[in-house]
Amino acid sequence: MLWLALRFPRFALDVFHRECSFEENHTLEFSAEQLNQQATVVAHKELNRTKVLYANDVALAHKVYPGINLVTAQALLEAEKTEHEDNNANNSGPIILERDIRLEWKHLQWIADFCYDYTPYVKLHNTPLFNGRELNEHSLEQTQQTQSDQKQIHQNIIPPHSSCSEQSHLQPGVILEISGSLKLFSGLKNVQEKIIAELRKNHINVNAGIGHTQEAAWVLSNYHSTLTESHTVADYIHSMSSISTQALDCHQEIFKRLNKMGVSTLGELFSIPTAELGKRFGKYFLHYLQCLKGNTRQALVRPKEIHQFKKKIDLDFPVQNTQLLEHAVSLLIYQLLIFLKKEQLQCEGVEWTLGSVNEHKKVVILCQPIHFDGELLKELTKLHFDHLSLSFEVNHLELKLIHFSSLNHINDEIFSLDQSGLNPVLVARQWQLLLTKLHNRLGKQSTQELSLQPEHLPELLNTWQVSDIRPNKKQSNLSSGKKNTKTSNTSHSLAFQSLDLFSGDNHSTAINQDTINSCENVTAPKPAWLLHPPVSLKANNDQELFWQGKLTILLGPERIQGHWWDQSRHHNRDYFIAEQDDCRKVWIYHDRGQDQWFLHGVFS
Amino acid sequence: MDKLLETLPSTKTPNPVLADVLSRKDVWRGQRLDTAARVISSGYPVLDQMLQGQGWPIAELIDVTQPANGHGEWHLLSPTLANLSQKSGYILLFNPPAMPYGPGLEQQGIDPRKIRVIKSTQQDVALSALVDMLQAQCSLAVLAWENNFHWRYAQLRKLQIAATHGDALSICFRKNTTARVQSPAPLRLHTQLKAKGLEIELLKQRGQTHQQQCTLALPRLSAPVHVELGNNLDSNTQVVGSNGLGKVLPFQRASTQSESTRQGGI
Repeated sequence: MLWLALRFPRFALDVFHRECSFEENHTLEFSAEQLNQQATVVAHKELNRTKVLYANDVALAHKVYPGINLVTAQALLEAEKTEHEDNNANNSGPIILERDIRLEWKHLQWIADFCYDYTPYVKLHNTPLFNGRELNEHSLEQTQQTQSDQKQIHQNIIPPHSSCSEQSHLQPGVILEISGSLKLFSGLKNVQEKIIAELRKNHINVNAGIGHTQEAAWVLSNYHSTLTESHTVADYIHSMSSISTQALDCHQEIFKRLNKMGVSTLGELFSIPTAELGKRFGKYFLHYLQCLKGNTRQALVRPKEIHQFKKKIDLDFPVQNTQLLEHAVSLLIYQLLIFLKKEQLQCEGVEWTLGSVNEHKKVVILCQPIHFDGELLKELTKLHFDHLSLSFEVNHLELKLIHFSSLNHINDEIFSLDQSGLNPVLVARQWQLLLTKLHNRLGKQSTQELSLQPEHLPELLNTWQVSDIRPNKKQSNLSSGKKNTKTSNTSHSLAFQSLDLFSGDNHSTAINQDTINSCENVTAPKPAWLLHPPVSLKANNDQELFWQGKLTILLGPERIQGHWWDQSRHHNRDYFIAEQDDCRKVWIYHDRGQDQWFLHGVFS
Repeated sequence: MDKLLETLPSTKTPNPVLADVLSRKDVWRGQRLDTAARVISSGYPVLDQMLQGQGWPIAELIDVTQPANGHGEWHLLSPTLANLSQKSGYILLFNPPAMPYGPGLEQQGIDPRKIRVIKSTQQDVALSALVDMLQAQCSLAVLAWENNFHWRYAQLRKLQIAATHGDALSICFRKNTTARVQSPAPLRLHTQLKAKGLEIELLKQRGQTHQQQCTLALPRLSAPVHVELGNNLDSNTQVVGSNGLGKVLPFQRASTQSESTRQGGI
């Protein structure tokens, strides 16, 4: 494995730079040039004090250093400003910014998404949330928990960092496992250069480090490293030996103890016997060192993925006609498709929110799994919006992914064609598309498919169930045009077994073989239409049956009984085929229990 | 005159614009039809002979009028549907008059698992859904019943265009009263059950100059059975089988019963 650590030493300030670079962002009162040219300080509130977290070069020149009190920093900068005002009346004052953790998270997510183009193993490191502030969004809370869990292992159950100083090990970063991407991107140098160039283009200052473990890469990212993929583990350990112990990803208490021991470099630390270190620093620190040196083999586990897509567009002017939302809809769907591609997900349902200042309306759209077919989602959205009656003017439009699943690539049977030259897999997909449209147009209950049950009574045998919008194996089997003869446990096959009682073609049913033979393999005709519930028939005084005309019995009887063990559901019927005056054939029965006649089917 | 003749397109080198127009399937050229149009056999030789191309046209709307539901729609289509149900795809029934009975379809050779029933009560939405069904590549056949809807010419025209964009056998069943009303469907039939069989009247098809008619024979059943209503029939019937779940009695065998299965019902 080969790890690339990207450390962002000025991230709290860089995010403001990047935010300024967005043309559409008019909320900030300063420009990117001002952030560079004027003294700029990012302050962070900690307990009851507000400290300087980062300062740009201009501020540093004014002796404003990270860690000092903000009041002190302001006094220093004001003094400088007064001096400059004498020389240049147009010079404006220093820029003091409050650290925006939410903004940092937003840009870290963007960086993680960007790095995902190079490797699936992307891990955020030292995320700002670890420093104690909470965000309301569910996903961020989850991430905070995950990060805290990871930290606990490394830090010997010492409480989290109590100070948020300029210490290098608290700088946020991203760690990537890139050994699998080297061939694709023509070597480590190219990967590294591409990533760093893109980040710098986006105003993110970055230090990079290469290591044989993620801990080593992170430590080495403190310093300019010239190591390449061809170096051995020994080279990496040797290169770390001259690095200060302050570069370790540990608690301040550990640094103090190391200083007391007179250990200042990692080389000196590595030379101490393991047992001695274990006694002084505990097993968790020992485990961290083992990981750092690569003595403990770590499983390559993808970080816990938190999938959330929620994007909002503020419209330029209020809209009540939903057709005017088409552009915003397209834009949001495009962003969703990018998200799905990056996360390797497929969308199964989204929620649109059309909102104004006081009101909002939500529209939920369920669909078959979509990964790249944005046109379908657009069409479904249009279907819903066309039938929407809005009582207010829409100011903003929001799209949220509510149902999703891991991407399921269809790569089986891709070359198999049926006798008509159609690909069953593609036909099944087409059916899912059609079903999605029908569900959205007509409702979920609109489409039904037959489910034959192992029953004798026709209405119980012939049950119809709502077609499921999600593809399943049963549907794909059916769509292939093959009868699944092996699945004898399924309701279908059981049902057809019961049909075989009548067909006489297949004698391998549960019924006694001799009995079937004695039936002379008679096939009882069955109607194509079944009426449910059966229509009660009335007879006249001449004992003649009527249904839309006089009925003449042609054939029968066929006795069908069911549920004889349950008196409440027991049915005993004699079925006949009868003909109407207009030559239509119908299927009628005499209920022997009720002594009544019913029409149950129509031959056609 | 010679100059005028020179400006006319030569018969040996046809005008490409004209050729493009003539290549369209919806251009009616009198009795000459596009022989390349795809058809599927109806399963009845007598009917195939009447139909242009010797079968049901694929991707064209077929308008079938009936005096009432149940006048031989399955008997008319079962050989074709049995053939289609062997392929990948689905047979879609839109607003059928009743629910199909699986064993009955199976007897006619149709795989009931390929049947999907779609219901709608709103005409405007129903038309859009029907267009989707006709255009879908997974549709083997779309059978639509007008029932309480009243499809206007423009709506039927929309269905016809949608059918041409698809690849399905597209049939709409309508009431008898619409038989004399104009329809954009290239093929129009009237079917009615008679004592001698299913009578089919070909009202309209491309290239047809006069109405044609044929009768598809129905398998004869036995002579009428006299049943005393109120009699429990125990004296007339005999239980011959039991599998512990229910009891099945044999039918009184019709004289030509064995012919019925292939011919699509009774």
